[in-house]
Amino acid sequence: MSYLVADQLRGGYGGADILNGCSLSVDKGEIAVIVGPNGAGKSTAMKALLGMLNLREGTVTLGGKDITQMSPQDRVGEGIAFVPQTHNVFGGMTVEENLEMGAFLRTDDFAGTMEQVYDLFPILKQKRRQNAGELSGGQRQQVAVGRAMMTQPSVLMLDEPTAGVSPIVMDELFDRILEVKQQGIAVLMVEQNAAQALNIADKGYVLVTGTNKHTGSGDELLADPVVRRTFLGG
Amino acid sequence: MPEFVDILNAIVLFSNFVLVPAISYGAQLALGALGITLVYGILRFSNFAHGDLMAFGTMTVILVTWGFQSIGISFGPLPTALLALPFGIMGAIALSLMFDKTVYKFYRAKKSAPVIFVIVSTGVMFMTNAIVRFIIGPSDQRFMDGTKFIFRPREFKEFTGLSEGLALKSTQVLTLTVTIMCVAALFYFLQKTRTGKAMRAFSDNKDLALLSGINPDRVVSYHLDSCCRPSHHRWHFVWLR
Repeated sequence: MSYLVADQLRGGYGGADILNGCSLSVDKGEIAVIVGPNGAGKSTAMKALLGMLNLREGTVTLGGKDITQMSPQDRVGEGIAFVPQTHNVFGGMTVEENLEMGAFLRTDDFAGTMEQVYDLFPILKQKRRQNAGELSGGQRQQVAVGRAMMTQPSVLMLDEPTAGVSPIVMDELFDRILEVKQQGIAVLMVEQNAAQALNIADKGYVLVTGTNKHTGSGDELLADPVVRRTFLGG
Repeated sequence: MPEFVDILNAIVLFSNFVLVPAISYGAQLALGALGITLVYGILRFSNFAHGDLMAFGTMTVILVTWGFQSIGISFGPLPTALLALPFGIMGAIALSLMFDKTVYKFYRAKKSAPVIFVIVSTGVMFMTNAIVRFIIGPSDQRFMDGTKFIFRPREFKEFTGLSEGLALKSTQVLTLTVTIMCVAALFYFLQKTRTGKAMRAFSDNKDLALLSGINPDRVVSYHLDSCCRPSHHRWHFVWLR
């Protein structure tokens, strides 16, 4: 049994169901990637794990504990951190203040965690007095991931972390995400850059119309001719 | 060619009738503006009842001042009203929390549109206004004591030997001092404290603030505390008249 498990999720935003029995799981120290065509319900699946969606059916468990009915804020308290695709930093606040806000729920001294984040993203230490809104797209993503890391999460969820950044920055970000995984954190991400993401993934899920179409390790999916032809472009 | 002393006299005349009263009046307006800006800036809520909340705070201060004066408590050369100030702040906080629990909370739970809140705050404005009118009425109230002038025009003339006089009232100095202190305290609060930063974060990016575990109900109540703060300045208005 994996650390975070979503089983047979069904539900949507009120109208028709977007998720039609989709199941996901990720363990600590593992990267799981959700890929699939536009409108497949990738981001919606992630929102369901975070509690931002009304589920009709299905359960979400974290470390064996049923969290299906918990509010997003309570799940944050349970150790799930989420990096949204857009609007994921406090633009009018400095990099350091962004990180402090990430640690808002913590009552202990978080200076050590902040040092870890600065070790992970050295550029942020240089720019810590600058407003996050003035940074480049790639740096802003680093702030967003750093803010999420400040809660010392057990699960880190990323919604298209490399959307709109250059290929070099994307490689760099993926390297950092691998480092996050080595800290024993479960990483779950939705990615448009499917091939690159599956390269670093331990587990991949191909979603189509809200259901699992293909599941396997990153390498298996990359080697699967059907997946290659239909989702990875040859 | 005017004499040098004429220029000095002109400057003193200008200061006495324009510059000093204007700085003092501007400081009063700034205090009210500070509060309402804070409310709108953080909560995106146009609070029409802000002015009447200030009036309510003022009324509390006046009533408590009269109480102090009648039992013989004074603050030496400073106005007794300064001692009554904390009670005014507490009164305004109590009234805001009461309205928050009985009125705004209902609309917050319903996630009403901002325009609904504006209309609701207009209703709260009328109610607060009615309470204040009922208790103390709209006419001028005298509760001034302590030293009125720091220096009078005649003293200024004798001291400088100029033919124009300049008066400096203690209320003018107090108003300016209080304004500077409030602005400094507010700036410190928003820039340096955890709660202040959380309030900025909430106004910056509400969804991300929620994801960081910042609780909006607590932001609202902290916010009410801070928005009540300028409430006590209304008495300067009454006082100076």
